[in-house]
Amino acid sequence: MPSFVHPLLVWLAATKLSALMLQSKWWWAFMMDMHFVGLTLLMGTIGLLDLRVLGFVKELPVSGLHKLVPWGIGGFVINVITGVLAFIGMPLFYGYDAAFWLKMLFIALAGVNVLMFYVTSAFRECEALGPGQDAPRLAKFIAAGSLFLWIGVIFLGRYIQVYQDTINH
Amino acid sequence: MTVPLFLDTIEKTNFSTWLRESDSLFGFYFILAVHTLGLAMLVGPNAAIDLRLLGFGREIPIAPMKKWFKIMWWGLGINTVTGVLLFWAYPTKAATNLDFYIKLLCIGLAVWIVYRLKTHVLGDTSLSEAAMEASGKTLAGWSLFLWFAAILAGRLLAYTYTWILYGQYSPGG
Repeated sequence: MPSFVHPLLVWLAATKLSALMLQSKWWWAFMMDMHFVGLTLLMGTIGLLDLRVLGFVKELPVSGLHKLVPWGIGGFVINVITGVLAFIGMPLFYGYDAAFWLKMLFIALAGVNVLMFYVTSAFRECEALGPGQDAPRLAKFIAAGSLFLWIGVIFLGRYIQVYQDTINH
Repeated sequence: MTVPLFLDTIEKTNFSTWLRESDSLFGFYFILAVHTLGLAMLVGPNAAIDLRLLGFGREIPIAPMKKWFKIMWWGLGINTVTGVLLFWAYPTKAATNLDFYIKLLCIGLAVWIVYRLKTHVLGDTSLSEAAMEASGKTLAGWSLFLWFAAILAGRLLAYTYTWILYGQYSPGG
């Protein structure tokens, strides 16, 4: 970890907001709960869209499933907010945790992946897919990447507890 | 409260001890991670079905979504197995917590609703799309509520226990 990080984490841990996060265990429990609700919304919409693009339940039109994506984005936003607040609450816990940073990397890769979906022809070609139609190979590749990365994010999130203090400071 | 002795017996088995103490990558936290994936597989598609029945994403035909039940049953199976394993690792911690029974009750009711959705709404070929939406709305609302409660109760297990192991009183959180 670069040397400028430690003072930053220490400063963050000393802020009022950080203390506020830890004031009540029920607030922390509520944030963690919402993090799981967000996870469910994300996987229930984006994950199923990925599966459709890969060919599972082709009777469903992609454009229709795409209408549920805002719920997945909503879930993601819930998780960014609760995740950032948790980090602010315990910066020295997360900051030196290998599983946490690997999780961040996976989320970043999932971001690049979704960008690929909308920037390339993949989205335009998929949106036009009606019931029974097969998605082009590029879109399938992106959908498989999305599933892999988000399942990886779930696993890495669960391993944060185990891998605390695995990075030298 | 007297804590039943069989919980101690479970904790003293080699397997229970291994589940708690193993440093293996496939120990306790792996099971917890798979339990979370199972949650996503069971509740994720159910939430999408509920949202559709409540009128969101009307372009999606309802009947074909019944194929998602396969993912959901797999999720339920995975979480039954991983749930038993998690219980086996910390039986006293779970069994002495009222919240644990609330979670099981919510799951039981939610799964019953999944079954009703399958048999009476999405799987009923005599129903038109509009009829499915009309007859499924109430179930969909209950489904969302019960899963939300089940997830909340599940998360709260980490903050509400009083015994961590047999004979080890240690209020958590």
